[in-house]
Amino acid sequence: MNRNLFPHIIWILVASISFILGYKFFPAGDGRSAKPVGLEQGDLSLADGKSLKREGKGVSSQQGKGAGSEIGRDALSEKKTLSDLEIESLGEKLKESTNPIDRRLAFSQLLQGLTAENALLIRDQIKDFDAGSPEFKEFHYAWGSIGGTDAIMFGVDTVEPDMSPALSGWASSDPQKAIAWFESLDMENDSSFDPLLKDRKMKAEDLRNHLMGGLVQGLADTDPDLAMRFVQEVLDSGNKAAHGMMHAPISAMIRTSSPLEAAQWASQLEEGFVRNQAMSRTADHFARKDFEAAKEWAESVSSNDGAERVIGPVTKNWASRDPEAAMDWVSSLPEGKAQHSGTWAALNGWAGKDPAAASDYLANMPDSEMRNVAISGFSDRLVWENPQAAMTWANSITSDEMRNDALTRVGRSWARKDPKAASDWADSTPGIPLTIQSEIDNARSKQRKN
Amino acid sequence: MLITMVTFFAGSQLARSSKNIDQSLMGQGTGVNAVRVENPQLLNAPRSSKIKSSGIVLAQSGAEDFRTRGLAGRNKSNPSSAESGDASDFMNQKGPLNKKQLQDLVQLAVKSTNPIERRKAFDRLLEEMRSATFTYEQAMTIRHAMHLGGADGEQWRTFDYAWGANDPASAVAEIDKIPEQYRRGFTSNMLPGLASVEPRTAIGIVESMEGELRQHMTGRLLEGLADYDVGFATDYVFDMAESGDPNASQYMRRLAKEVMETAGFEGGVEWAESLQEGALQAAALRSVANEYANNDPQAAAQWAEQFVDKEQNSRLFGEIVREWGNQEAASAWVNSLEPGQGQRDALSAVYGHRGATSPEKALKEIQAMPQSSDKDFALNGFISGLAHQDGEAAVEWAAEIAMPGMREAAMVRAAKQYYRQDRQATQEWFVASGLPAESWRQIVSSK
Repeated sequence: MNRNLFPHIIWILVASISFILGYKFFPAGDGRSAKPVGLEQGDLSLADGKSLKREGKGVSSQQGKGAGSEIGRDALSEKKTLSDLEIESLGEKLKESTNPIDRRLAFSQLLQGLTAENALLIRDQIKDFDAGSPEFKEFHYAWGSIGGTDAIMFGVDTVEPDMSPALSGWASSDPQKAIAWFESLDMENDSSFDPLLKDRKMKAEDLRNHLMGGLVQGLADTDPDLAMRFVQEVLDSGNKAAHGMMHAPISAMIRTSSPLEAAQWASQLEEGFVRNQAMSRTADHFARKDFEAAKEWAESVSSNDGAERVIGPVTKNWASRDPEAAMDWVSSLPEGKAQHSGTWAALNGWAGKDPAAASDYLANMPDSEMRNVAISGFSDRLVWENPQAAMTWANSITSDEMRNDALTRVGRSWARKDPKAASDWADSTPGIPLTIQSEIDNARSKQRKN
Repeated sequence: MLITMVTFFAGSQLARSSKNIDQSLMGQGTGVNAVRVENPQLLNAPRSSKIKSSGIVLAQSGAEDFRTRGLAGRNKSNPSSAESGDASDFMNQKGPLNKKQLQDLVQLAVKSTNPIERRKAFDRLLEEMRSATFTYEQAMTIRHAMHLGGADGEQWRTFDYAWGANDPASAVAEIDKIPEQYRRGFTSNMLPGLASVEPRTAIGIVESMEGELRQHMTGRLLEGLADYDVGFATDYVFDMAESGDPNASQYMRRLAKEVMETAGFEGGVEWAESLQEGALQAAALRSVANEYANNDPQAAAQWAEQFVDKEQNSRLFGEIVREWGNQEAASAWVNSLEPGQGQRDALSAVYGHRGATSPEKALKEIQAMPQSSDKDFALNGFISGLAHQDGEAAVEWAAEIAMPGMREAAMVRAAKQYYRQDRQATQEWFVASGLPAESWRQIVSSK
C-alpha cells in the first residue's frame, strides 16, 4: 500500500514545488512589461478629443523610461525629450483648451520636457501668462534650477520679473553656487546689467534686494536653516530689506514640519527680531492647527526666555472662543512678560468678540499691572469700534508710562480710521500728551497728501 | 516532467492574474473615459458597478503619516528631498494608486516646498482621477488627506472641479453627503467641472436652488458651461434674460470674463462683437472694454469709438476711463469724443477719478461749466469719487444735479457712504433731503 502511494506523493510534491516556484518567483509579466495600463501622460485625453500621441511619439515613448525615477530628489530629473513640434502643440493646448485640467496637465508636460536647450521655445508658449501667475513663476523656477545664470540673466532683457523666480530655482537646486554668484555680483560694473540699471533706470540696491528675495525663497525651499542664517547675516549687515525675507524660511518650516516641530525650531533660533517673528508665527499656526497641544506646549515654555511670543498667539486664539477661560489660564501662568502678553491678547480678543462683557470684566479687576495690561489690550481693539470709549479706557491706566503708550497707540489708530474725528477730539480735549497730538496730526496730513 | 512544467506555468499565470486584477479593469475603463470626453451627455447614465468596485487593496494609514519624526529627526530640507522617495516610486506608476500612495502624493503636493514637485504630485492625482478605475473611496482618501495636510484653496478648487468632470455621479451624490459647513464650498468648486461635461445636470442643480445661493452658483455654473461650449453658455444667459432674470446682465459680464480667460482677449472681443445687439451685448462689451483698457488703454479707446453713437454701449466708455492709468490721456480722449451718451459716461468716469484724487480742483472745473447734461454727468461722477472720503459734502453736491432721476440716484449713492461715516448725521440730513421714504432702505442697505 505504502509503496503504491510513494510515487504519487513524489509527483504531487514536485508539482506543488513547481507551482509555488512559478507563483512566487516567476510571475508571467508584471504589468509593466505588458501593454501599459492606466494613463500615460501622452495619452491624456483632451477636450477636443485629440491625443498627444497622435501628434508625436516623443512624449509617450519616453514615458516608460521615467517610471520609478527619482522625482523626489530632483523634480526635473525625469526628462522627456520634446520635439519643437510637440512643444508648440502643448503650447497650443495650453492656450486653447477650454478645460482647466487639460491646460494644467499640458503645462506640466512642458515643464517635464524642459531643458536648457528648449527653454526659450517653452517660454514662448507661456509668455501670455501673467507675470504673477504660478505658471509664469514655476516655469522660471524650473528653468533656473537647470539653467542657473543663463536663466537668470535672460531676465535682464525682459520687462517681466523673471530673474527672481529663476534665482529661486537655482538656489533650490544648488544653494552654494547660487549664494556665491549672488555675493559676487557687482552690478554697477557689469555691463550685462546695463539694460536694467542704465536703460530702465533701476537702482542697483533695489535690484539686488529683489534678487535676494528670490535667492532666500529658493534657499528656504531646500534648507530653511540655511536660508535663516543667510537672512540673519544680511540683517546683521544692516540691510533692513531682509526683514520681509525671513518669512520664506518660516513659511517653509510651517509647511514641511508638524506644528510642534516648527514651534520648537523657532524657539531655538538665535535671540532677536528673527526669532521673535518666527516664534509668533509658528505659535499662531500651532494654535490654529491643534489648540490643545499648542496650549500644553505654551505652558511648558512659559518661564523660558521669549515665551511671550508663544503665550500671546495661543491666548488670542483661545479668547476668540472663550475669553474668560483664556484669562483664567493666563492668570495661572508665572508672572512676567509672558503673562502680560497673554493678558493683552485675551482682552484684545475679547473686545472684538463682546466688548460689553470685556469691560465688565475689566471693571471688576483690582488695580494692578495686569489690569493695566488688560486695559491696554482692550482699548487697542476697541478703538476700531468706539474710539472715544477706547481713549477713556486707555486714560484710566494707572501706570504713567503704560498709559501714555496706550493713548498714543489708540490715537494713532483713531487718526487712521477717522482723522477728522480724532482731530476734533484732540482739539476739544485739554492736556493731551504731545505724542498723541503728533500721531493724529501725522495721520491727518498723510490723508491730505493722498 | 510534463506535470512539473504545467504546474509551474499554472502558478506563474495565476500570480500574474492576481497581481493585475485591478489593472485588467483599466482596459474597459479607458473606453469609458474616451466616451466621457467625446460624448459628455452619456455620463448621465449610471457608471458600471464593475468599474467602480475595482477592489483596490487599501493600506491603512492615519494622520500620523503627515507628521515628521521628532525635532532631531526632522527634515533639514523639504519632504521632497528626504521623504518623497516613497512618492517618487509611484509618481510615474501607470496603474491605479492605493490608499497609502494617494496619501503620500497628497502630502507631497501639499507639503513640499518645491513648487514644481507640488505641481507634479498633484497632477499625478488628477491623472488618477481621469482613470476609469477611479473610485469614490479614492476620492475620499484624497479629500481626507488634503484636509489633514492643509491643502490650499486652489488645490481644493482644482480637485473638486476634476471630480465633477471625471466622476459626475459620485460628485453630485457627495453634495448630500458632505457635512453642512463644507457643502457650499464643495458645490461651488465642483459645479464648473460638472457643467463642463454634463451641462444639463449642472443647470438642474442650480435651478433647484434659491436666493443668494442660486445667484452665486449661477456664476460658477457659467464658468463650467463656458468650458463645455461658449455658444451653449451664451444661449443660457440669453434664456435667463428672456425669462426675466434681473441678474442676466451681471451673468453676461461673468461669462465675458470666462470667455476671455479661455479664448484669450482677442477671442473675447470677437465673441462679444458677434452677440445680438442689446443690453446683454452691452454688458459683455463692458467686460471686454475693462480688460482691453487694462492691457492697452490707447487701443481700447480706439476700439470703443465704433460704439460712440450706440446709447446702450455708453457705459463701456466709462469703463475705459476708469482703467486708464494715465488720467490726463483719458481726459484728452474724452474731450475728443463726439458728444453723446458715451462721451458723457466717460466724462462722469473722469470726474469720478478726480473727485477721489483732487476734489477741490475738480469742483472748480465743474462749477465753471454751463448748466448742461455734461455738467450733470460730471457732478454725478464727482460725487462717487468724493463720497468715500467726505460723505457730507458728497450728498450736498449730489443735490445740485439738475436731472431729477440722476439727482436722486446720486444722492442715495452718496448717502450710503455718508451713513457709513456718520449714521446720526445721515439720518438728520435725510429728513431734510426731500428723498422719498423708501430711499432710506437703500441707504442703510449694505449692498
